[in-house]
Amino acid sequence: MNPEILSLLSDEELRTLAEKMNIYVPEGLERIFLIEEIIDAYEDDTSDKVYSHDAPDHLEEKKLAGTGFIPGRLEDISIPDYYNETYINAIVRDPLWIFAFWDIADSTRQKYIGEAETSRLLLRISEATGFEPSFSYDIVVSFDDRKWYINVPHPKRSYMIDLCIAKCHKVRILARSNIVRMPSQYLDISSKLPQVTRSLLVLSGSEELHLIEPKEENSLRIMSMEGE
Amino acid sequence: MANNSPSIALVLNAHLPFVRKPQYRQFYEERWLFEVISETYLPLLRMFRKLELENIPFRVNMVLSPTLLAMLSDELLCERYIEYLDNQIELAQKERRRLAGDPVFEPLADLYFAMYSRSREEFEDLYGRNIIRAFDYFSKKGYIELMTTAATHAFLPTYSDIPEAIDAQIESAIIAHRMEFGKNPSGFWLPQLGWYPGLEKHLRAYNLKYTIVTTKGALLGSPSPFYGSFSPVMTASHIAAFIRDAGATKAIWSETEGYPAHSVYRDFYRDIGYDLDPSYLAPHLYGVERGYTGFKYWAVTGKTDNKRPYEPSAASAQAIMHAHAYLSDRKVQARAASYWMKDRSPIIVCPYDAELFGHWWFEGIQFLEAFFRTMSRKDEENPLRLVTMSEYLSENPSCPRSEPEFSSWAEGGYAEAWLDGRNDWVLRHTRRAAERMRELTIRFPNESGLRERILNQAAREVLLAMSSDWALLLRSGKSADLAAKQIRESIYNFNHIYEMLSAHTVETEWLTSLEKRNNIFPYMNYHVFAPKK
Repeated sequence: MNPEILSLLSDEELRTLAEKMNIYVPEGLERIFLIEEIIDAYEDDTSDKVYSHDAPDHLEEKKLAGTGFIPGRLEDISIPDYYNETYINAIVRDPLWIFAFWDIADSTRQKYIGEAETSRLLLRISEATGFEPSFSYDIVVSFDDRKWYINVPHPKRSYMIDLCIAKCHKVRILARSNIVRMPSQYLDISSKLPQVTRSLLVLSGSEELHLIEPKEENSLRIMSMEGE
Repeated sequence: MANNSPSIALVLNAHLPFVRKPQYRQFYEERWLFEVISETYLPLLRMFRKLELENIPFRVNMVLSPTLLAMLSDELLCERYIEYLDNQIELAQKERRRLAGDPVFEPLADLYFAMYSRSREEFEDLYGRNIIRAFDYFSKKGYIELMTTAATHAFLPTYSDIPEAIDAQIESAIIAHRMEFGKNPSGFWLPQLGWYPGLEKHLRAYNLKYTIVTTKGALLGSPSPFYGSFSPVMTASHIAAFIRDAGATKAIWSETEGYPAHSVYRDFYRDIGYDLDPSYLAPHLYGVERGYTGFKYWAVTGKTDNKRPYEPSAASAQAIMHAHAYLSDRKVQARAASYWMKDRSPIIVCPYDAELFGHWWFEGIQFLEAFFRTMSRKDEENPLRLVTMSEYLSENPSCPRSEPEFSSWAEGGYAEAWLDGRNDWVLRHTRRAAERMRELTIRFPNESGLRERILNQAAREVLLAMSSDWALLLRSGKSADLAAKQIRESIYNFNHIYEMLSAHTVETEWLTSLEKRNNIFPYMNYHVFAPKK
């Protein structure tokens, strides 16, 4: 979680996120301070999770210790920013976030940009439980946007995203993403688990890895950061 | 009667991304390879030889990644490694002169002189510039069990909906392994331990038998693993997923609490490349003003810039003590697990990046040697048995069923490290290239000659762009410029080929030059990207 990602969220989404993180948000708190509050709370939450945050990224950095920018070295090759196709892709980031990116073919883009006064581009996030979506919500994006980090309500459920044009109360789907299944966040400790398994899960580090869902009065932050 | 004496398996993943720049006389990042050959791979082989000579039995699973194999077998890079060693020996001689008479630092300059001289002697004379054969020797002797990993170490979960990209990474890796070692591997190392439900079908399709997942991914699996992390689980497609041990991870990986952070060990960061006059260092830094030379004279000491001089003998003693402590902790775990596991042998799986030992943790090879020596002593105090993963599976063929959860060993435990504002642009291009490569295999099913060559090169470029290492570097900011250029170059090359094929033209000279430059996977067959029936 970083300010850049948070800045992509709407005010309403930021407030929902803060609420889920048990952050008190006074009325009228400016957006920039709200983002700061979320980052602070998130850092507080992760700072004591030293157990497994020392991930191999550290070694990768050492193994590949480099020099930074060396002017003139290697040709500066440019590649297209996007491809002249209309599509949307969804990729799982963690139990509660999807990374979506899309392109819109030039002809389609031009057509709707010309109608920008009356047309809106939006992402429709749907829970994909069967053949028909059962629950959905929209995020309005601009024609300049090409990616979005989407906060979804439930781990362990499947979602898909439609890239849509909304005009005069009618919504037209430009592209539909692949379906993504969100991973789980916490261990399913049911009473059915035999004692041997319960004991071995603890010996395996389930508590240090923060895999036990916190109780209501001590709820964890929305995003788990304990890596390995 | 089931044997439930506990087992321990050590896994070392040796990997570097493909960096080879023949168009430059010297290229700083080629030193990544040279440094780890000197500090990790040759010392590992030295230790293996010593243990073999002393009849000390040892077992280790080792991954030699396809990109690493390609670089270790590349004539140009081997020639450049010798040049690098000569340059390092020259710097060591200069350092001995500069530090002559200094009772603390002159011996350290001597240490580096001896290290680089010995590396040269072994690489050139003992191994004939081919250390792959040396690993193969220990594999054939049964000391090490070789595994493979994805062709360019792609983080597979971000391509889960492009099955041809997954297959291409696995199939190219298996071919690379077979070309070097004459047989297919049984074990597959997941790059960054990146797993997603469904991956097992691809692994199974290539007759792979086992892999390793994170503790978190396994514990969140469905159903919960019956024996926790102390037994592999069997997926629906019959791939055994061994589970990384959390305690063994913390003991060594943790940058703050792990053994390598101990105050007496050599400090990785404090290097004369940042301390001495740039004009003195200029002949040794490949045109870079400041950079790591490999000459480090200071101990970790603590969170201070006022470092103590490095004392090798104290550090060696500490490495041995840490090996004993490490084993002692594993024994405690094993006893506790054995209490609950009457019917099978608990296993503690300890996977690490190989370069952690020697390169980052300078004394890491001494730690490993002490570990193997202590393990070889049979006594009642040591119930642990050192095994390879195949050995464990042949003794314990039946494993509880479970499907591990989407996971990785990077920060966050899922895909956060590859989906960040600094690197998320990469996937738009690599995924598009993989999809277009699949399309090309359908459009051009039976090509030969020049068109086959260009299609094979297109496949190489897609694989190179998929490397997970570049995206990690973009995120960390270290070598980010090189990482971005590597990705853009491969994507550009692929797009150019795609356009040429669409226009029915081929720029032969450009293609030949590219084939010489990016010469990885010479046996490439572009059909690795073809949809499977």
